[in-house]
Order: sequence, then C-alpha cells, then structure tokens
Amino acid sequence: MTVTISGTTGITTPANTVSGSITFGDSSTQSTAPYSTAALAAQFASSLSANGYQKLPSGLIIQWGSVGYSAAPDISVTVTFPIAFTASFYVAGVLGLVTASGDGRLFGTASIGAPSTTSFSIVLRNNVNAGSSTGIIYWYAVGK
Amino acid sequence: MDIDKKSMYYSKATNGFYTLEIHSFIPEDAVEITVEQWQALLEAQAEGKVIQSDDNGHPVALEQNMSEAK
Repeated sequence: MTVTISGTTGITTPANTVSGSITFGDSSTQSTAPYSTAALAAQFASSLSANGYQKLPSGLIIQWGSVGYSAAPDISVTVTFPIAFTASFYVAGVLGLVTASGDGRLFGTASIGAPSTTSFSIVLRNNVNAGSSTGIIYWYAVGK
Repeated sequence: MDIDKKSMYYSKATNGFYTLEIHSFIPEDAVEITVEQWQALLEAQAEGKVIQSDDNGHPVALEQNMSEAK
C-alpha cells in the first residue's frame, strides 16, 4: 500500500482537523458517528513517557512510573500519580529492581499502602537481613 | 493533541495533578503549571524525591525522608 501526502495538509494542526466516521459492528447493527481527531484524542488522552498515563473512552485510566530509593531495611515511599484519578483507585502493582545493595540480595517484599485518587505509598521490607539496598521500584496503577 | 499546549493543575489540598483534558472538576485551590514543570516533578519523584506543596500552594519536589515502615 502506498500513502502519498502532498500539499500543506497536516493532520496534527487544528486548522486541518480530519473529520470522518468510524463504523462499529456488522451492517445490521452498525452505527456511525462523526469523530474529529481532536475528539478522539480527548477520548484517549495520554502522556506517554517514563512516568505517564493513558485514559480510555470508558473512563479507565492506566498510570505508571518508577521511584528510586536508597535506604532500608524497611521503608515507605510516597508516590504521587502523574494525574489524579477522577473517581476511584482500583489497583496498583509494584515491581522492584535492586541495582546495588550490601550483599546483592533482593529485599523481601514491596507492597502498597494508603492508596487514594492522588497518591499511594510503596512499603519495602527487607526480610532477608538488616542491610540497606538501593534500587528502583516500577509501579502501575489502574482506576478511573 | 499537542501536549505542549496542555496546562496542568496542582492542588495543595489533594496533593494531586489535574488537566482539563480529563478532569471536569478541578479543586478550587489548584494552581496552573506547565507541562514541562509537571514532567520535571515526576522525573524528580522517579529519582526518589517526594512531591509536596510549598507555602504558596505550588508543587515542589523535596528530598524524601524515607521513613522506616513500622
């Protein structure tokens, strides 16, 4: 397939907003509605970077990020979400990556505390020993 | 949507970030910040700092006292 774009048309500038229709379902149930690229972008509002979010048309928001830590053996780290959930926090997950530690062993557990629509905390517990560790916790959160 | 043209808002009361693109309600005490400032705060958080409000209600990233979990 060949796509040729000529002239000064650019789909990202408001003056040249592309309009059209999107069809769902088969011919017996299909409905069509006009969408502009701007309206679609608002339905799928996002900020795609290392700490970002993606909103879906249903209202669901997925967020993610990381937080570095250097302490131990048991600590609590507060994380502010890139964007506040509009109504509810549903679930979060954390994954730890230890980049350096006293004896190279992973801390015991990383768990979630005090979730709200704007922030949550990550609780690290070193169940292995009393040593300190340094690393990065990757997290994601889902809500609406 | 050109991200550079999007303003962000920070509320001291909720310690949260908002954007009109998503939120139909933004707390009354919220202050407007640029996308660049917002990204810088998130990057500072990723480096281990904590996002808080200063005395004027503007967000700042401070060294976090990683309190010992009880």
